[in-house]
Amino acid sequence: MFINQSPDTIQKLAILTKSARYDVSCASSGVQRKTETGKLGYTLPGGICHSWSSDGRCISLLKTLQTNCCTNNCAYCINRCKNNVERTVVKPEELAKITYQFYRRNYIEGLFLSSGILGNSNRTMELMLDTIKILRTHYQFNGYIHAKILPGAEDNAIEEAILWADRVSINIELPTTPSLQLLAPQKNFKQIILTMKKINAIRERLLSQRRKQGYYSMSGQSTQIIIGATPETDWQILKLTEYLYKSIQLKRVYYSAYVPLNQEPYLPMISKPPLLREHRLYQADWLLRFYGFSLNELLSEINPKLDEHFDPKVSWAMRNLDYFPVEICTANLYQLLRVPGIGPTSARRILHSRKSDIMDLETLKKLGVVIKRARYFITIKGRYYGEVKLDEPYMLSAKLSELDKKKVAEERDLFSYELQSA
Amino acid sequence: MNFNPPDKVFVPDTELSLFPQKVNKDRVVEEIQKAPAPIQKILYYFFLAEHPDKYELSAHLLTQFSQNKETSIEKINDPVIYQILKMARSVQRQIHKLEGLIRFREIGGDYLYAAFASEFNVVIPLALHFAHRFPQERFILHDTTHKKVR
Repeated sequence: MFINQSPDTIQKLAILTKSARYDVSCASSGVQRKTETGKLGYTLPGGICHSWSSDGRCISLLKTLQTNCCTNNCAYCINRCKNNVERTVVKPEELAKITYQFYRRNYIEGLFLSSGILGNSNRTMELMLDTIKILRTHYQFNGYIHAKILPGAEDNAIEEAILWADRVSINIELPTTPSLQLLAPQKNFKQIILTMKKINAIRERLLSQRRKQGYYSMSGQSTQIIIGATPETDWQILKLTEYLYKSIQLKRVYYSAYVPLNQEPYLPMISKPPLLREHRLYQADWLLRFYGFSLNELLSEINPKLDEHFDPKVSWAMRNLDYFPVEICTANLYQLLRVPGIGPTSARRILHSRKSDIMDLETLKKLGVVIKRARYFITIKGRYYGEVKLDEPYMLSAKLSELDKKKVAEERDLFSYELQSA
Repeated sequence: MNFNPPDKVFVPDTELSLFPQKVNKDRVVEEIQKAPAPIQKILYYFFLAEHPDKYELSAHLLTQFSQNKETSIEKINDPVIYQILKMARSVQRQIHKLEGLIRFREIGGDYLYAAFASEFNVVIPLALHFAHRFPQERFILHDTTHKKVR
């Protein structure tokens, strides 16, 4: 194995950030922390994007690994021990310094720190925690830190990570035990779920004590699931997601379209990552979290796949036409949220505005409603504005698909980026 | 039916004729100082857009607000208020974008320097943001459009 031991931190970072880009869970949102005297930085609940990658993802944090050396041999991973890639380890002092330097020049909102496993999980976690502690104490860094918990980490390492970071996460990677056994034999599905529960328990204990000064991972924990490397259906993936949100109170589940990097007989033969599928899963995820949908309404065991042509909300609407039209002047929040083209913000604005204003399409447009979609599903004071009627589902479907053709083409375009050589 | 919004929101004469064409600027400023915080916030961002009729439009908003005993400014069916809200939002969006995209570089004398070009006059809110973020740093923000430095 070739280990780059050059003293040049930038060179090491170039290797490590390249190795870290397949992890997509790196938002800087969810924590509000004000300026403190003598400290550097603060965080905003909405986060700030500092750049955008070629496929449109927001870049907010310095996303890097402590090391890309790894003892694991996960089939989907660029850093698996079998691969012959350039390896390096960055020292905690070096990484802390460079994060500080990037932050004060406003390149980043904070640090996302993950790692391959060097020796064993605990030793690697120690290096990561050193980096974070140097940043927090030596540089008085008060910006955002996301720390990855490595599978098999001991309780005190988890505790330290929770204490010093704004968000912690452990990646579940694949949605079922057999898939994980096949592609990542060193990882254990049950163990990962148990660690997630443990993180919650430790965090609650720390919060109830509140003795030491700390950050307590106020932004909670998240995870990542790889999409398309194994044959699980959207239904299975979202079923797991629903469980993670409801039973383990995860703040976010990230979906990462499988990028074909390695050659193995049991890996799918695809040339591009399934980014449109990833996008549809995020849309469904949003429906579960912010729109009051339950998974059974979107998918079932018999119908386990999200429609690629329509977004999941339009799909649901087409299957449940008897629910419509929704009367804008009398509907409650829950009913408004079911209308394609109305989101949580515009729904709340409607509830407020309809008390005093005259409702018409123009007003709805000003409130942020996507009229070209919503008009087929609403009435305003009994008047229907769609060009085709709701009792003509075939015509309606044609109309909406015409409307969506452009959007799907755009989405496809956005998601068909050239695979850069790894 | 086509519902493209007009490029420029037309302000009917009848609406404006409620006020003298040129309002007393000091009076408007006084009224703004008395207004509730959310209104002040909107008008603050709106003023940064430097609309030529900012005082007249603000006076209209303040009068509408007090006359209607509204609790929220989301009185969207008034074209003037809609225009003010829209511009305030654009300014806020630009501030947020610049907060992410501005890059500092080190110059002599231990100073950090960043130049940017902005449509609106947003150097003060940006300076506040960075002053909070980097309390220990000495930095210069240079707005090349408005030729302003903070």
